[in-house]
Amino acid sequence: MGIEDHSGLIDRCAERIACEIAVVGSGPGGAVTADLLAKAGRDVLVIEEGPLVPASACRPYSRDEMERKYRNGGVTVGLGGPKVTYAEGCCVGGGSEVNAGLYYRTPGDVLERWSREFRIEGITFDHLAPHFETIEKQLGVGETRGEISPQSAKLREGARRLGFSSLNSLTSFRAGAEMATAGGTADGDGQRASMSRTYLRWALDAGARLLADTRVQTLRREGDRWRLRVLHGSRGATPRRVEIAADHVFVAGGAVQTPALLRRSGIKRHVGNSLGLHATLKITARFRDEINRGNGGVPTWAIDEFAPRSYFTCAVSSREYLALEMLQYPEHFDEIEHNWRRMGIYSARVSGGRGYVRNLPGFRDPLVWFRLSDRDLAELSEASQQLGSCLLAAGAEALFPSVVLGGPIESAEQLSRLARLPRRATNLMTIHLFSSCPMGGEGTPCPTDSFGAVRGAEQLHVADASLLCTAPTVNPQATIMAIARRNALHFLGAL
Amino acid sequence: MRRGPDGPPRPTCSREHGPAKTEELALSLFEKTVEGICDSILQSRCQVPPEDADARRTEVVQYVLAQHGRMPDYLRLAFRLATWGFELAGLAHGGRVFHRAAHPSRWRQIESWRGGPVPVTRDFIRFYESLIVQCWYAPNGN
Ligand SMILES: Cc1cc2nc3c(=O)[nH]c(=O)nc-3n(C[C@H](O)[C@H](O)[C@H](O)COP(=O)(O)OP(=O)(O)OC[C@H]3O[C@@H](n4cnc5c(N)ncnc54)[C@H](O)[C@@H]3O)c2cc1C
Repeated sequence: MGIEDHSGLIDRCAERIACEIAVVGSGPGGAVTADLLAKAGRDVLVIEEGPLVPASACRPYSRDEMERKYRNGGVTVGLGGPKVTYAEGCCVGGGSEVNAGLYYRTPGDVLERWSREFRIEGITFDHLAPHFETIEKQLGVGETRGEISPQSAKLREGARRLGFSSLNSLTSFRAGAEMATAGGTADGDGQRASMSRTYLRWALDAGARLLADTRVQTLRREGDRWRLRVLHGSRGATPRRVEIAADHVFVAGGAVQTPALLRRSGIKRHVGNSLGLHATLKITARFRDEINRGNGGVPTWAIDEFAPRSYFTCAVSSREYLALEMLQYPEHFDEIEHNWRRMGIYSARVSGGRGYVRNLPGFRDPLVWFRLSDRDLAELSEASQQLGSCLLAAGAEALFPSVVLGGPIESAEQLSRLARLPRRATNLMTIHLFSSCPMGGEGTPCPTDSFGAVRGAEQLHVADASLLCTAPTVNPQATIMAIARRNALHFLGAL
Repeated sequence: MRRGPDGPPRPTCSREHGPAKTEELALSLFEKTVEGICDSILQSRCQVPPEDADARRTEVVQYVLAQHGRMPDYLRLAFRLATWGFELAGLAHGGRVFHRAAHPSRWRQIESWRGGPVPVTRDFIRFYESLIVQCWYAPNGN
């Protein structure tokens, strides 16, 4: 059930609002935080820049969804080398409203590194286990039901032939009939257990209020309170200035917007200097048989043989997504008309590189600059060759990587063309961004402490993907939620 | 047109026509160039069924303009400038600004920017192509 008619939604907004705790951003980090704080009886106001779009209002991965639920209509690019296009949700529920719900706990060795290198207290796998267990129960995380999709089956087949370890990802899709025909995952029907259907709803039930279509411009400390300057108004309408006063602020705008907001507010030390992402190279494969059901979902099979260095997964392969990939191959472009049912998109993903988030004077949107080191690029080259060999082993006739290569790859020998990915001619993408305001213990160059409190600012916290110390290497949402839960409980003195 | 950090759009130049008029002209030139790019790419890349050619073409042009409007503002400005540059580059290619040139000449210009040595011109064409094929293969509501 959605929250469109919930009494906790503010539809008429006064010029001044006061609350005890303002949560800026309603994605997984903000929603989990708001839920816990509201249930503890605190007076919580969630402020979300994007609109409230009923969960079932648009088909998952459609153009309509892009226009209504993504930031910048999905058109965002990080400058640097290679170019990385990235996508962020911008609606009530943030990225959870558009994502695939693939669910992974943070690997123990990643957490061990955070504990050792970043000197964070209480963050081992055992410390986080109870948070993961609660989240899994609350979201109904499990395996997809029934047969896996033909696109997944190809990845599984390639892995089996090469002796690679592979698995069916867990998902937070709930069994249900609502999206049965155009399911969010291609490997089973279900309904996104997005934030608007879960934690935000529960937060509102517990007394929180939610103000959508409202962008926080800056935060300013006045006496012992925070003043938030916000612009309120739906897209296309002239926005109205509103002032919000809060005792505590949790910033949960996501890995790009959170550092941008802090920096706009004059909080700059170490902020936005260490943006991380999972750099993803796509490979479109054409098989002899039909593998594409055309339902637009994300097939859930993945290869974890080379984890944590790289993961290979399936990607949305509807016709428009295939067409975008095939633009790189003009001579083969018309395959979209005839062969699309035999084609699927796969991706090789590595962690690495480092980026910055900066505000440009006179502009509203922050600039993202990102660079992969030569070593990271070499790792991605190796990963794309391994994925390529797996797809060929599964019977692919031709591979079309998202690199300017001159022509498709049709044999194992030709995979060596991926051995050195050209920095300028490789097109990467990502949907996983993090680490722009990482947590760190005393003496570390991190803008937030072990529990997400912003250093040098009172009663100001970060509660989203920005906090992750390094790449989680797995899909990040579960990590973000577990950390948000841990930190909110710490704030309440209940950890 | 540039937006201030918070406020309404503000004019970027003001000469003899006055700000509003100059902006209107610049905007419609921009739209004409975008229309021209959409027409040429649709004609060469996508099989447009004659019966609904007009409606689909309009849908694509509107989508491209809307997505341009949604881009991060610093990129939007850069793309607008590049689009004007592309329009004028038509003079060097076929003796006419891009949107007034015939399809073969337009297509040659697109191909030469796509294959050019400077990444900016390649990215420029790729940006427009991406939006056009995306809209084409995912008609409204899909
Ligand atoms: C297409 C796609 C598929 C994905 N698939 C998966 C998956 O299968 N599994 C997985 O684990 N992860 C997946 N992810 C990633 C996951 O969705 C994100 O990591 C997660 O949503 C990040 O959570 P967050 O709370 O940090 O921020 P977000 O989800 O980005 O939420 C931040 C919210 O804050 C709002 N906001 C920002 N600035 C302001 C401001 N100044 N004022 C008010 N509001 C503001 C934004 O509009 C946004 O709604 C996917 C992401 C995408 C885009």
